[in-house]
Amino acid sequence: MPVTKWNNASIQIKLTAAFTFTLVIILAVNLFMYMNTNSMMSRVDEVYVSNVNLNELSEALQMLHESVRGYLDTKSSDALDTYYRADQEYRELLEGLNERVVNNQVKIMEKNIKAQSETYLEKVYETVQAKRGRNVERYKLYYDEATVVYGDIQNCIYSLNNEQFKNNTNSYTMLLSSLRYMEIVSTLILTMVGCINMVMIFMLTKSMTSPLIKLSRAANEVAEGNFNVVIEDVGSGDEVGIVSRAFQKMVASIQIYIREIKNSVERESRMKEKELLMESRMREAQLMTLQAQINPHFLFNTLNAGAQLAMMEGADKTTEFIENMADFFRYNIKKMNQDTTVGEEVRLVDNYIYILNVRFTGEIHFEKEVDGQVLDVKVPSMILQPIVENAVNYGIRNIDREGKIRLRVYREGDFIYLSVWDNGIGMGEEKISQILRGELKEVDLRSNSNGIGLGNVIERLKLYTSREDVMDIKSAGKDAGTEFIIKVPAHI
Amino acid sequence: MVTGFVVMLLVAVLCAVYFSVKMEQVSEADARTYEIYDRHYVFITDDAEKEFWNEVYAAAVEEGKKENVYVERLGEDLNVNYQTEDLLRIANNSSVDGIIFCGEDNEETVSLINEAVGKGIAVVSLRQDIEDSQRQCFVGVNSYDLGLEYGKQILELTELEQIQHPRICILADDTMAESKQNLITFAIQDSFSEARQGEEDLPEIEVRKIDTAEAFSAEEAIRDIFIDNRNLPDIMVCLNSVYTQCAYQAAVDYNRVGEVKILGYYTTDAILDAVEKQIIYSTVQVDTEEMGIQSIRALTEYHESGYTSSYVPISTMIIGGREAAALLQKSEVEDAGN
Repeated sequence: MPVTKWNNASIQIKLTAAFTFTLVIILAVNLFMYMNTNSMMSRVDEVYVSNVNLNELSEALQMLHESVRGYLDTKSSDALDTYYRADQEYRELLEGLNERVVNNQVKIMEKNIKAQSETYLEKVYETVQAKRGRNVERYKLYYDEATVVYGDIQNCIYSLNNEQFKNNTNSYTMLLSSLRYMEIVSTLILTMVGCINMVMIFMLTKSMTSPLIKLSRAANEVAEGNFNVVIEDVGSGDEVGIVSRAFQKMVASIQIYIREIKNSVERESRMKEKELLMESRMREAQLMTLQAQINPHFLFNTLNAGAQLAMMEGADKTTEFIENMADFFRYNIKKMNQDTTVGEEVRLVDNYIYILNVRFTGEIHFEKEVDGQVLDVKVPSMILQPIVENAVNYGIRNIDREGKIRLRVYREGDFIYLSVWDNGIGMGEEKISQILRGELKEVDLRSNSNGIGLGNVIERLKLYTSREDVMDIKSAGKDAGTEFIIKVPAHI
Repeated sequence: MVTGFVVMLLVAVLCAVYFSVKMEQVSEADARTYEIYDRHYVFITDDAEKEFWNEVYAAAVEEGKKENVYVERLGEDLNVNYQTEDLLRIANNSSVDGIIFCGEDNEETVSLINEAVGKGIAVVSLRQDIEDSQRQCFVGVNSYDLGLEYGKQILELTELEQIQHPRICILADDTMAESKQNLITFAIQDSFSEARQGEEDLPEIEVRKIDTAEAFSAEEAIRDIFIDNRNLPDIMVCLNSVYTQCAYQAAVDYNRVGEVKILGYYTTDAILDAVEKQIIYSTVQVDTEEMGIQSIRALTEYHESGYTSSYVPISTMIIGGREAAALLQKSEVEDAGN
């Protein structure tokens, strides 16, 4: 849990925490060392205190002995006073000496000094008392005895002082070596803490800079056009982590945008291609038309002149015929390069059938069922007439029975169906699929054809609707007739 | 990173703990606590025969610990070279609980011992009895018994070396009580007369008193004996370890090994080595441990019950060449073990 919290902390917090922590540790270590050194130094200061005390004791004893001697010499009240004070002082100093039996020679020596001092104090007291009582013999004797004990005590103090000095010197040496040792240890601890601190700072800065370096490398790669860079997850929630994740997101978004742009470019180019193709097909159809009808304008104008002439002559049938012809050719000229409606296509078929029936004296029985609702639906021009022409030329031309052609225009769902049925010679399966696949060579242009083949119609329908199922051909077999069904969407 | 912090904290804490422990050790070494004892005895001997007295003192200290008594070797840590009498005085004035004493038997000593006893301090005399004093107990070798041991050795020697009228020189302290010297002399003569019943010729025994007041006098006095060719004794009986070592060194130096037979006292490594090489014919081993233990026990017994035996004998043993070799070997093994 703390690790996660740490990872999610901001760089500012991380840096502050790292520096504060190390600073606190180094300060604490320093403080600890300082306190220890201080206590050690104060102990060093105290080492020779016992020697000082013993010197004081020795001096006090000397003072006492001299005061007794002074009193014996003068018997003055001043001297007595000095003696009392010296006695008091010495007794006070004796208080600090050990009086227990312990297993330490120095302490035992203290005990001996104390006990001898008691004897000495008793003897000097007796001496002073004897002096006060003017008992000359006794005070001399007591004084001599006291002097002997005084010598012993001074010797003992001197010896103890030496012994203490030896011990204290040992302690002093030990303390000094401890101080040196402490110096080394504290230097070591500080060095260790410092080293770990450096390693930590190095790791911390590395943990911050290495994702940045990775990020900059990734940015360079992106700049060079490689959008597929994968950045490892930094895993931290600090600013670097945020930047790195934002960068990842940005790269991912760029990738998506690029894909979308690519797709739309592709789509656009496909559309363009389609348009171009369409145009080329139209041009092809136009060319075919021009090849078939060398000068439709001239023909159309001529036909109009013929129609007017016939009208003037009162030949109504001829007029109608010529008008139908004129309409037929006008349509060809006018609509070839633009979209038209189902109604116009149906009208063109009407014209065409009329012309044919005049030509072939009513051999063709044409029927039509047209859904009036769909007459305005837009379709490419010249799609129905070529099929009807095909039905006439290949379906019913060479049959002995009465040739029938039925046109049906109806709507089913979202599609408009334009069906041309004939009762002609029919068509085999193979031929049907050849036509649908566009593999069948266009039948030679004949004088009675307007020159647009089925293949062209199917191609244009496919390009126009962007669908493949634009045409269906049904035939039950030989002499069973054929039905061509064009399928176009009701709304394009 | 968190791991780094933890590691650093751990290192700092461990170092601090280690450091504190070290500091504690220094403090402990500096201010150790002491054991408190019930009683304080002092052990007073002169400077001679350090090795011998060291052993006795060590045994006394060990026994003292068992009975919760601190035994101080008085004079050891004093800068002035005090005589045993001075040390007795200091012990008296120091109001100790008991005194184990080996020193010159003189009036001053007697008076100081009596003063101590008067103050309620129990006194045990060691090895040499202060007969006229009021000491509570004497722990040591019976002089007559010691004389008999020496007598036996002298008899052996005279028979071995075919000496008809041995001239015997006994090296003794001038502080040794006359009675003690006489006891030893009598005992040697007694052993002869018992062994050679009916014979008139008793050995000629001379007691050479070594002046202990002067330093290094023993070595000089013994060398003088060896220089005087005409009066060279056949057998030299040394009544302490210093005389023994001086005698065998002089015998070696003056090429008198074999000519003067030495009977020693105590068993230092040097003496044992000399016995093994037969420069010294034999030596008397005194049980120093027993001496130390018995002295402490006598004092404690007196403190606890108000009385104790006035004499505690310490056993002795004669160490010849074979025993000396065995003892040396044992001491070598112990040294190697340590």
